[in-house]
Amino acid sequence: MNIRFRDETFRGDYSYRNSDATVRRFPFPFGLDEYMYSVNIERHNGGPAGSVYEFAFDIDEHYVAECRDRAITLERDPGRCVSLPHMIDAEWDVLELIMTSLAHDYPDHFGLQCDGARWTWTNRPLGIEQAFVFGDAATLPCPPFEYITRQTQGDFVIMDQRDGDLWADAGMITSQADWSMSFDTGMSFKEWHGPVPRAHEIGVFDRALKYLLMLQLGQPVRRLNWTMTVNPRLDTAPETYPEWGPDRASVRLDNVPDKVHLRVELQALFRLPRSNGVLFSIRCYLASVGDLARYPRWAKRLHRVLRDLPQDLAEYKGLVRYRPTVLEWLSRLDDGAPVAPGTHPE
Amino acid sequence: MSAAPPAIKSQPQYRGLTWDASGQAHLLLLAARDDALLASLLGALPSAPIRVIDCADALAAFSAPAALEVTRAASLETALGLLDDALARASMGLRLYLAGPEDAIWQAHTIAAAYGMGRREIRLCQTGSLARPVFCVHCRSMTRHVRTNIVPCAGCGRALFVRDHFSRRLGAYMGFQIDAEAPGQVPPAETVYP
Repeated sequence: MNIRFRDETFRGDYSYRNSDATVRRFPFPFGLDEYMYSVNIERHNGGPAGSVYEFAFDIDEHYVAECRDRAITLERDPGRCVSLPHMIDAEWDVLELIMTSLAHDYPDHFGLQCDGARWTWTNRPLGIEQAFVFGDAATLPCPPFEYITRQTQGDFVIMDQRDGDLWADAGMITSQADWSMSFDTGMSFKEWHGPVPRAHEIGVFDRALKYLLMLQLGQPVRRLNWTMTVNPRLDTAPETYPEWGPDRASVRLDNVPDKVHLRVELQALFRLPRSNGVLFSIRCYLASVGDLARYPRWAKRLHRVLRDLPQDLAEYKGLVRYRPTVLEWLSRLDDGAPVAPGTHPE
Repeated sequence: MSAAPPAIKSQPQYRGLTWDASGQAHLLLLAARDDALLASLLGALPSAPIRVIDCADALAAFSAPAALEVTRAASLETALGLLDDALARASMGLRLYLAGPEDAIWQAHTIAAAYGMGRREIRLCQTGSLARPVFCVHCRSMTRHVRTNIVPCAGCGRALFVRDHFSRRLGAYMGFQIDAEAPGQVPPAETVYP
């Protein structure tokens, strides 16, 4: 499979665009007309060919541009990548998991040769060939977790498991939906998710934590989460809120289809073999409202979910200022006819 | 004490202080005067040695029992230095008790955490002022003794909204620019942490 990587930006002129095929495989998260938090966890051991679920770590046409955008964010703020000192074993676990997965799943683009502890990593899209000694951080240009996540789409948190909890003790977070890794470093599972409304009260985090503490090696799981973003911007961190916050006031009826994006996170969780930590990958997909509206099912469903979303969730997701405008645009595409359950586009 | 659970789960919940009977030595830092708290602590002394560092004249109304080794400090800064020295010489089995405003007790907590003390070895009690330490998520400066819901950042000057989201590692609440979406539209600040 040969992916054509787009030359595009996630800031400035925002030249990010999805090809038709990428819109079609977009992980639309709404199978029903209304949305509420749930422990919507399922196995993550493969999915239909060509879907975002096919492989452990999905690589698509935005790969090169996303890695470039991450490098820009890290240049401006190195604090987006953190790892507490006791996480070094987990860092190597993650490097191994990602390198072996990518080399196996995308042999045209990535390669890994292992001769005992002497490994050679090849990343053709980014033009990298790196020989190193597994377990010896001095043989890589930067620490192992930073090294491999600079070359992977999506954000990553490594959770350390101890005292019956999961602690957010390492993270590479440059494409987040308004939460701060540098603030949340070292938090317990529930502290870290503290700001999420409603979910605590209905027991979502109690059940999720219990489940994740039992997560088995080789049996990863996944779920989807979503929000909306004005402009196709990956870096919507609290740190840079003064830069992107004003965009929320720029939405007008005529620019809704191009400017407003549904932001879906494919979140996957992997048990790590040496450290017994848990890798939490947060792969962000952006599709403009106009992209999604090409499929009438999606247009109607998005309209209904947004319309009926409780106000506290809308506030938490930062939609309040522009939700009415988006609803007005989408309402023209919703005739009120029933939409059969399911997330498929057609 | 029973209080409504916090809206945001990272916000610390404090109960009154009691001695941990499993401690082989006790170290108590007092950063606010609270006679009721002290009366209850002094009324139920454990047998293991107790060291007290007092930077708030908190023991003024009491004749401290001879078993207590009391050091008075002129400032929080001095008290934190004494705490650091004491922890450097401490052995396993020490229990640490921190009583005072959040700014003081979480600065002390940071020192203790650096010595590897865990959540089960440290007890915290908020007393005195409800003022908050606030971490600016934009410039990473700390603004201390914040009594209002909106405060100018001591580092970058932005008008920060003080969120209930709390980091134990930083010992502070999160502050973010309240008028980022509509610059200049800053609501009047209200005193909510007296």
